[in-house]
Parts: sequence; structure tokens; C-alpha cells
Amino acid sequence: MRQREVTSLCLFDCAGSTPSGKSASVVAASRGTIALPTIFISYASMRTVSTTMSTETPAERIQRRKQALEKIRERAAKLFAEGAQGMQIASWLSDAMDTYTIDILKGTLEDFTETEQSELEQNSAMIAIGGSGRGEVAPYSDSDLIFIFQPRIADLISRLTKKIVPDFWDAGIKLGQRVHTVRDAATSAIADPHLASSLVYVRTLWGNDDLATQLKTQFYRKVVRARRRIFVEDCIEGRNEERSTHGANGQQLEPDVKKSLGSLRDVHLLQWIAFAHYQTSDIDSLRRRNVLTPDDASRLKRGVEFLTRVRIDLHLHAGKANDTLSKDEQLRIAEALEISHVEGQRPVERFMQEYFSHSMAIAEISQRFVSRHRGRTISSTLKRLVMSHRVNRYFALSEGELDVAPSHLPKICNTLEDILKIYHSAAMYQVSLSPRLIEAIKSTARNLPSGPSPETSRLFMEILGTVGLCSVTVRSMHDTNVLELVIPEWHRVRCLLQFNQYHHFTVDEHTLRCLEICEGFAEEDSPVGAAYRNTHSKQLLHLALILHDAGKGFEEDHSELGCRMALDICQRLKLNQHEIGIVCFLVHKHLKMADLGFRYDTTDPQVVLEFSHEVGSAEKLRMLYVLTAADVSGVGPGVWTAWKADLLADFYKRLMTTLSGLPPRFHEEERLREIREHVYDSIVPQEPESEEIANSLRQWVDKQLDGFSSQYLTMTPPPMIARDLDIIRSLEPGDIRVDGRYDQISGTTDYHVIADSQYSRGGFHRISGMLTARHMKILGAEITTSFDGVIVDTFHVIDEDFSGIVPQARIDEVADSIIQGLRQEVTAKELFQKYRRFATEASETPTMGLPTRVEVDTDTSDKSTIVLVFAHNRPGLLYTISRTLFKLDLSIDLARISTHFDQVVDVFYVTDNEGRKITSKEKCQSICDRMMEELEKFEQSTYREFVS
Amino acid sequence: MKKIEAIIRHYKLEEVKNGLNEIGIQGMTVTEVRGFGRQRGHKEVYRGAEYTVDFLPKVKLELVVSEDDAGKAIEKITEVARTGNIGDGKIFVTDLSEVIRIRTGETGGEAL
Repeated sequence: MRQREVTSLCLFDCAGSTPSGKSASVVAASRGTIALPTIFISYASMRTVSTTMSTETPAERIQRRKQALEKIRERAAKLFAEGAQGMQIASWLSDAMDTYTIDILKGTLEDFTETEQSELEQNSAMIAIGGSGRGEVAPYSDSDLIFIFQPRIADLISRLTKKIVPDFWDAGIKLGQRVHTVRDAATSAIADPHLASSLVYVRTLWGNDDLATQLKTQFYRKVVRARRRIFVEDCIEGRNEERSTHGANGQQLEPDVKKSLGSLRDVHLLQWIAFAHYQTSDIDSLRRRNVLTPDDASRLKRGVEFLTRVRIDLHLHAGKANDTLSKDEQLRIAEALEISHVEGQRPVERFMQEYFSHSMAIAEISQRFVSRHRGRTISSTLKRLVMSHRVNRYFALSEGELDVAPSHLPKICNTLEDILKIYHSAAMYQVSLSPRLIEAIKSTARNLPSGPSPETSRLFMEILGTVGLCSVTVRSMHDTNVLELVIPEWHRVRCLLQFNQYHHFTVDEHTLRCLEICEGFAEEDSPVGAAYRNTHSKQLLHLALILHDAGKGFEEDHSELGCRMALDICQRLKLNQHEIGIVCFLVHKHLKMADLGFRYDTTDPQVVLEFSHEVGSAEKLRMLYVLTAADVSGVGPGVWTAWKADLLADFYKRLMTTLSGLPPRFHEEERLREIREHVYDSIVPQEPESEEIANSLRQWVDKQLDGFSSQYLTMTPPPMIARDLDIIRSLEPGDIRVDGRYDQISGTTDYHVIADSQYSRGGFHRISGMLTARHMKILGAEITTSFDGVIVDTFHVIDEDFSGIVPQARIDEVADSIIQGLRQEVTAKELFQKYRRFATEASETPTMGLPTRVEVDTDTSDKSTIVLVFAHNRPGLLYTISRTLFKLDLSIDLARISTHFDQVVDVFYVTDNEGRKITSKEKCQSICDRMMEELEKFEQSTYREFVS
Repeated sequence: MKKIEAIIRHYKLEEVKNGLNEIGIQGMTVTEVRGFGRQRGHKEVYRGAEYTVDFLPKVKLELVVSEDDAGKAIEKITEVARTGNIGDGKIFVTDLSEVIRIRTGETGGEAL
């Protein structure tokens, strides 16, 4: 907001004396430097009127007073329009209201005899407390007053207050009044924390000033000093309660200027606590005593000035005590301030960005001040002493806090690397930083150049990889402005408002919340919780979350821009190509999964397939799912509903099954138990010959079940598993069992193959070769290997030579081919030549037109490398792929082949000959290249490839 | 006046909304709901493991129209929301005795 020089104050008569009885206050409220204007003129005229027109009726008197009050507000509005500073107007209003209040009191006193009047004046006092005592008043603020009296005039004072209360009400003053003796006031303040905090500011308006002095002394001694810790805790608790009803979050988009987080009340909280410790609540005095740093003090004063002016504006425009900065008001004020539009940011968004930058600064300074001055109980101090221990040379660790002796501070906090080391330790030990450390970091950070070095990048990524306190640490880095030093782009989203009905928070707050929500998933028994726990590279997910909205505030689509920014940022952070790819992908597609999940038919295989193709790996999908859930939840309370959670979980399950060949893992234990029981029942005889035999059978079953892939276990019905195990148990070396079955409903034939381990090498490509040569169209397959290396494969095929039921004789014939093929009595090539047909194999043009894509994924599984192939289906495709894997010397542990329309998604879990996962980048690249090459060759030549 | 409540598939919402706009019906209330009818939490044989989803996510659309428009609106919703499969949803129609626009106090057809 522009701060214009006040030139027009001389219009008011500044020569008037301050109202009677005004004494030096406990609060030397910062009133600026201008001479205090008073409403001398109106005050004088009111007095004249009240003396000359003693015959006026009560109604006329009320009317006259209301007009006078109206005049005060008009003057305030005029001052405001002329550009006076908020604090000047507040201070002027305070004086005007003092005078007005005193005048009403004097009017009431006229009904008392002169003796009574002087009795009252000598033995009681009208004292401004709270906001009035502070001397900061908005046009429609309540007046906080207290009457203090000597016990001996109790009757008189009770007569006075009985009369004066209606007079105040009639005059339009909303009064929070109390009547006490000095002793009584202190007792009440102990019982009523709200009164206690307002007694921090005391200013005599009328009467015997000694009483005010007594009140101050008694209050400080009995209520504050004698019970400092309780007083402080009461203040904090009261403030927390107030905040929870008026917005616990400072960046809620319609903040309360007085009560939300980072509002004026947080400055008051700081002042109350300062009073408890230093007997002053004046910001400048606190600075002089080195309790507030000069930066903090000036930041606070600027914030108070900004908020005060906004608050006065809100009051004047509403014509009542309105402290809520609603969206309509934001628009109005932004326009009145003539803020210009800049690219991608509306005036109202720029205004609110400034608003939030003030409120966030206030919140941070106040919270830090509070936590630093929070008293400790004797037991906790003892515990601290006992529990604390040194961490390396300088740090002390205790009760969830990392601290450092003041003498060490200059040694440990000079560079960005130092600072990140501190944060790193905090994240590692799962503790937060002491206020002292935060102050040191903040003041160092101010003078550091931005941009990470290799070492700071490493530290930052490690901090992001810690689970549990990552979000707390990042939030603290945000508070101390360290985050911008690592990611300069963060500066742009700080306090950035999105002016629409959907978002509840500014971009930075939204982002930090997303990170907190995301970490919270770790504890959640839900699909999202499981996905988060199973995510390997959590640091990449966390980084993507921090960056997902970084592109906001420009004209361009924020996903596109954000993706480019993420690329720069990742390169600066020295991530490798693979990691950069993941982060950029997540930022780029962060809206897509929700968009599809909530607006499209996610049971449609085409939607699932196309998006799987776009995502490309299970690990990326997992991260995108968690990011999407966190992003939607972070928009605001109540946005992530069970309805949305269900839809997204269902979509995730379908995508995950496509991409990894496995359904996502949750409730796995329970299912395993179920299978185990079923298999025990069918394999272990009801009445075993001996318990020993039964036990050894059970052990054998356990070993087998442990050895099977989770794919096989989740996909196969328990009776089938029992049957397979029965076969495996009786399998002799060299045995091959093929069981073919026609399923009338689906019109497909399933060939279930169980073969001794000697056939496992190359077995898969031989079976697919045989089936292809016999003109079977392979729709799907599940391939797994038992504990002892026994092949357990199922192929789902359509026998294209039969339009209806496939006769058993034909099935047996094909089964024989499979056996011959596995025994290598016949090669695929021979069979292709034998069953060759002319000109019947022309392939159709693909309907979906997705490009062929091969992904080698080393992130998803710990034991194997995953080769993922998306391709247009045509006869012989599976044979080509499996033969290529064989030629590459890869062994297939597990595979899932699926077809949607004419598009194939094949997932292979492969290892090298010795059963080791392939991780080398060169090797992965060569697998990918070789596969693409073979697929292109196949695309050109199709069948000719197999027979030549 | 008639009150029309339609339970439809969530992804049909945009289409239904646009369809209704085309025939001149504008105001409506949309709620995310979960429930089941004959589709009864599709018992999915999911890789051998049978599991039941009790409540399926749907969208509830509520609109109030004049007697004249009711037929058109129902026809439009039926046409657009239909896929032909179980789970397409249902439309409930009730007679409505009064509508009041809070801001102006207008009643009946005026308030629609």
C-alpha cells in the first residue's frame, strides 16, 4: 500500500490540550510523531451546548450526542481519504473517543450534588483498558473501560454506574465496562484471563490518577509477577481459542484483520507476554532492550500500520465494526488503491499478497517470541537438564528441540551449508529448532546469495527424504526465508493468492499443507497410505509437491510452466536425468489424474490404457496418486471427500494393475492367511498318519507360498492354488503338465502349464512361439515361477480356427505342441513353416494409435527390473518380445500380458542369468533400444521374420 | 411444478448439465453421493479375490422445473445419462407445492 505523507492534519486544531486526566500510560503506544490532533472544536461546542441548553429533553440529548459521534467518524473518514497513516487515525480516534466519553460522564455527573461529584472525582477513576487503553481505536470499536473506586464510596459509585451505563448505550458507545475496587480488580483478573490481558494497558480518563497507579502496581505484582507462567499460558491459550474460531490459518482467503493468525491480535499477544517479562509492551522499548531485533521490530510496526489502515477502511465502509476482509472488500480496496494489473496477477491478488506478507511476518515473529518466552515448569526444567545431551560440538538436544549456546552461534551459522546442516540434524533427530537458532538463521539468511551448491543440494534432498519431520522442516525453512535460497522460484509463490471460489489458501500455504498432509498419509490405513509407504523415492515426491504449483501467477498454464521451472530447479539441485524426469513428470501431470478420475469413466479400459501409457511406470503412478490426493486435500477442509477418495482409489487400482501387472498392495496379509488355510485344508489329510507328516507338509506349503509372486497369489483363486501345489508336489524331473480348458462364456481357451525347472530357461518364449504358430491369438498371460523354479504359466487365447466351442481333441493337440516345444523336439520356426498360411496375416491399422513405448523401470521392484511394453497387437507380437528378452539373456520371473482392444500392455519382471536385478543405466538403455529395434523390425516384416 | 432428482454416473454430469442448458434449464444443485441399487456394489471378481464395493460413487442432480418443462428435462437426462449398462441411475419426480426466492420473496414460477 502506498503511504502518503499526511499534509492535511493541520486542518485540525492541534493546539487543544489533551483531555483531562490523561496520564502517562503503561503502554507508550506508538503514536507516530505528529502532534496529536484533538476534536477540540466539537468538544468545545458540545460543552457550550450542554451548559446553555440545560432544558433539552433526554431525546434531544441523545440525538445531539449521536450527531457528535457521527462527526468523529466523519472526521476519521476524511483523514483516511486524505491518506493519513492507519496508526495516526487510530490514535486520533482514541483521543476523540476519550473526550467524547468524558463528556458523557460529565453530563451524567450533573445529576449529582457538588459534594458527591467531588467525592467521586477523588475516590474513583474511569480508566481505559484493552484497545482503548492502548490508544488504538478503529471507527466502530467497542470502548473498554473500567471504573475503580475506594470501597467507602461503594453506594455512590453504584448509583453512578446505574445511571451512566444507559447514558453510554444511548450515546452509541458499546461498553465493556467493569466496576471494581483495586483489590477486587486483581482478584477478578486472576479468574478472568481476558480481563488480565486487557489490564496490560491502563490509561486514566477521569478521576483520581492514584487509583490507576495502584491498579497497575497491584495488577503487575499479584496477577503477573507472582504467577508469570500461568499468566503467559493463559494468554496463549486464550489466543489459541480465539484463533480456532476465527481461522487458525493466517492465509485463509477471507481473514479477520483482528483475530485470524497473523492479525493484530498476534501483536497484542506478543505485547502481553513482553509485559509479563519486561513490564513494558512497547515495541520500541523492547527493541532497545534487545528483546526484539531491529528487523523484527520494524517489520512488526510496518505490519501493524498496514493492518490498522485496512481495519479502519473496513469499519468506515461497512459503517459498523467489521473486521472481516471478505472477497468483495478485497476487490474494493484493491481498486481504491489503484493497484495495477501485472502479467498473470490481478490487482486484488497483488493486494492480498501484500496483506499476507504482513500477516505472515507478524505470525512468525509473534510465535517465535512466544515460544522463546514460554515459561517452563520446574519439573520440565529439570527434565531438560537431565535429558539434554550434546550433539557434535555445539548443539544441545533436549525435549524435541535443538539448541545451541549463544556463544557458539557465530561459529555454526554463517553459510547456507551451515544452515542446512542445522536443519538436516533437526530432521534426523526428529526435533524442531529453538527460537534462538531460528533467529540466528533468519538474520544470516538475509545476507546470503541464493542458489544451491552441490553440498547444499545434497543436504536439501536428504532433508526431503526424511519422513516424519520433512514438512515441519520445510515449513521452518519457509519461515526463515531459507527455502528461497535453495529454490529462488519459491519467492514468487510466497503469499500468492488465487482469487477464486475454489481455493482456501495462498499458494505457499497450500503447498506446505500438501506436504504435511502427504506425510500424514504414512499413518493412514487406506490405499493412499499404502501407496505412500510403498513409495521408494519419497524425496522426489516431496520435491514435486513443493514445486507442483510453482508455475502459478503467470498467464501461461501453470502445469506447463511449472514443468519447465522444475527442470531448472532439479538441474540446479544436481539430480540425475532419471530423477529429473520423475519430478518434471509429476509437476507436469499433477492435475491430470484427478481430472480423469473425477470426470471420466475410469472403468473404461481405453481411459486406463491411455493414461498408463502416459505414466509409464508403477513407481511414478504411485507418486502421482499420492501427490494428487495431497493436492486435493490441501485445497481446504472438506474438499477431499470419501467420494473422491473412492473414485481415485479405484482408478489407481486399475492403472496399477496395468502398469505393474499387480494390483496395489493393501490388505495383503489377510488374503495370504486365507489362502494358507485353504491350501492346508486340501493338501494336509484330514487324518494324517502322524503329526510329523502333517507338519512337514505344512512347512512345504509355507515355503511354496512364500516363494510365489504376489501376482500369482492375488490373482489365483485359492482352490486353484491348492490344485497347482498338488501337481507341483507330485512333479517328477522332466515332467510337463498342460491343462487346456475352453470357457464358453468368454469364448477363450486357457492353457495352464506346469513344468519342471529344467524348462524354465527360454520356456516362456517357446510356449508363446508354439501358440502363435498354431494361430492362437494370445489375449493375456500370467507367468510365474515356484520356489524350486517350476514354471507355472497360464495363457488365455482365442483359437481363431474355431468360431464356437473348441473341441477337446484340438486342445490336446495344441497342448502336445506346447510340450514338444518346451522339450525342444520341435522349434517354433519349423512349426511356423508347417502351419504357414498365405496372405491371411495382414494386420489391421491400429484403432487407438498409441505409439509403441518401451520402459525399463528399476524403481518399482526391489528384486527385479521391469520391462514394460506398450504396442499395437498383432499375431506374433508376444513371441517377438519374449524371444528378444531371451536373446538379451534375461530371465523372466513374472509376467503379465494383457490386451485391450488391439493394444497390448506387457509387463515383464526380469533378472540377469544369476537372478540379479539389472540396475546399470547402460544395460537398461540397451534393453530398451534392442526391444524397440526388434519391434520395429517385426512391424515391417511380421511373419516373414519367424520363418526366414 | 416438479422437483426432479436424478442419480447418475459421475462422469455423465458435464454432459447432462450441458444437455439441460441446451433446452433452457439452468439452475440445478449437484451433490456427490454414494449408494447402491441393483448394481449393488459391483461384486468384482478381482483377480480371483472376490471383493465387494458396498457403495458406489454417483452424482445427485436436483432441479425444479415447471410442469411443462418436466417432460423435456426427464427425456434429456435419460437420453444423455444412459449407457445401457447396470448402474446408469434413476430419476425421481415429485410434485412441489411452493418455491420462494429468498432475496426477493418471489414465489411459484417467478422464483424458478
